Amino acid sequence: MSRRAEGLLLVLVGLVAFRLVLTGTYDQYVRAGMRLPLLAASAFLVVLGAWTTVTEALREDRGEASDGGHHHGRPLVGWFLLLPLAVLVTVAPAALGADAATRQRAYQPAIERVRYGPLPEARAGAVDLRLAEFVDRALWDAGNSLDGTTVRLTGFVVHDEAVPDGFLLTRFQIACCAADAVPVKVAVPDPPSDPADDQWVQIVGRLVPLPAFDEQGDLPMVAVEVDELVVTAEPESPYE
Amino acid sequence: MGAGELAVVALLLLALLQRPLAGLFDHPRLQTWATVFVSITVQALPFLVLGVLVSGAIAAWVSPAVLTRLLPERQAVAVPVAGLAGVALPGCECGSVPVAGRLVERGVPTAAAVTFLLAAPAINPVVLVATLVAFPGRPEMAAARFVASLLTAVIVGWAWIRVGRGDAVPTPTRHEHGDAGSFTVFRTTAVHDLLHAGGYLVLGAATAATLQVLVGRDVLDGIAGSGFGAVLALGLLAVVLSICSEADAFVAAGLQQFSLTSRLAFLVVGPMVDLKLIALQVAFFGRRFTVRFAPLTFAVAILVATAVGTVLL
Repeated sequence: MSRRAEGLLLVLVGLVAFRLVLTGTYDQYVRAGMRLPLLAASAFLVVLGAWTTVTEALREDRGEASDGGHHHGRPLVGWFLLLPLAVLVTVAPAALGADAATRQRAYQPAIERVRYGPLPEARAGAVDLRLAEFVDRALWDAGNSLDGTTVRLTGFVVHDEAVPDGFLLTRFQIACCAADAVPVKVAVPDPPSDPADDQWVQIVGRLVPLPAFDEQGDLPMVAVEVDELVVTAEPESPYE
Repeated sequence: MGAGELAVVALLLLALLQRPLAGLFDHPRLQTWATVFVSITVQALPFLVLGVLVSGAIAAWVSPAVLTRLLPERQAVAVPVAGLAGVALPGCECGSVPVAGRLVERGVPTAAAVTFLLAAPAINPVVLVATLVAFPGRPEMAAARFVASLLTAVIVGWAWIRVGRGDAVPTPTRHEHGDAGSFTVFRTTAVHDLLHAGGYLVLGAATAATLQVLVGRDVLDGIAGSGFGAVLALGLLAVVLSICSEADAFVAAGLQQFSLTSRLAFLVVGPMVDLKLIALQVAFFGRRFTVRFAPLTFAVAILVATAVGTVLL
């Protein structure tokens, strides 16, 4: 790879990263907090790449060899960087969905029985909760704050044999990127309608009271009784 | 064909092939693969940039004399010092490989540089805080991680004084910079390290995504939750999953059917030996180095995690 080509390749990588941030699609792959680091990295790549391309082009115009004059040992492996760029530009893979969720164990919160803080204010008769917080409170809140509380939950639909007549309301939780995603699942045993896999929905309903369970053993599946189900678009940030 | 033309041809091909290529990924499993693959590379990019900023700066502005003065002369002492210095590089493992590679090039003994390489992604404050958050009410987990990771790094470093003796300086990427200005040295080093590390990182990410999709975490369901088998299984899982060291504690927290000691092994192995790291180590230290280094590190990490877990957890 000539040094000029190396510079161009880096500019290309920087621009694609910049486009990810600009279009907001980066949050289908990494957590929202990566916005600034990604912006900084893409700026650095574009500047470094442009600096290299211009310097080397000028040098070639003057008929000089590149620094040191040696071309051997240039990292040809760098061209593999085109692979994720190609996948991003052509396929633009969506956020993880039903396929990944079916193949992974559901989120099981690693906490003890404690008294949770008060729930947020209700909006239009229901409390908005993240799916993971709903599961946490359902299993571990010594204050039983969810008993009789109407909540509003958002997730996508996953059909699973564990819920024969309904589906699992699912949302992935990520710490850094989709490679470490863990699905949070809540059973919806008796939904008013039955959307297809991967369809995002918002439901309003209440926790189905849990049976007594062994806190050291397998945790029971948290289920919700639905009053209202609305099909929605994918939320701005697909992960929790 | 010149660089500009190549880039244009590549873009044209992409534009022409967009539809058939996108069609290839209609299968949900392939979509999942693509998402995981792209995610690992996007996540690693900022850390890689941070790493080459440091490695470029080392090449341009840190003279070998300064480094030699900073490190104790005796290698056996230099190794733990280098391990503790790992606290100062906040980030995950992708950035530390180019930095360690440049340190060797600048005359730091390989044994000390690899200790830094192993310790930095595991014992820096960002990762330790993430571990504290992931295991609420169990601060001993973060403590055990710090102790076991530092111990592993130092033991491997000491072993490397012997194992690595007689190796040629293992950077195939040495530059003779001649009298080039320091900014030029910075630029060429940064470009070189980015492409080198980036290319291998892509290969590692592709492999990790493939295994994640093929294997799935439910293979673990058949494995006993405690004992040495669990330790080994979670150690191997860490190699396959190739999760960033800032995130692995959250995944470990979810593996509740396994003993704390086996989850500690997951946290100690992950930042030191995984598929993308192996690819990066091949890039910067060569194949001959990596085939000895990765298995040695894995074995030491498993043993140390078992011992520390038994005492502390």
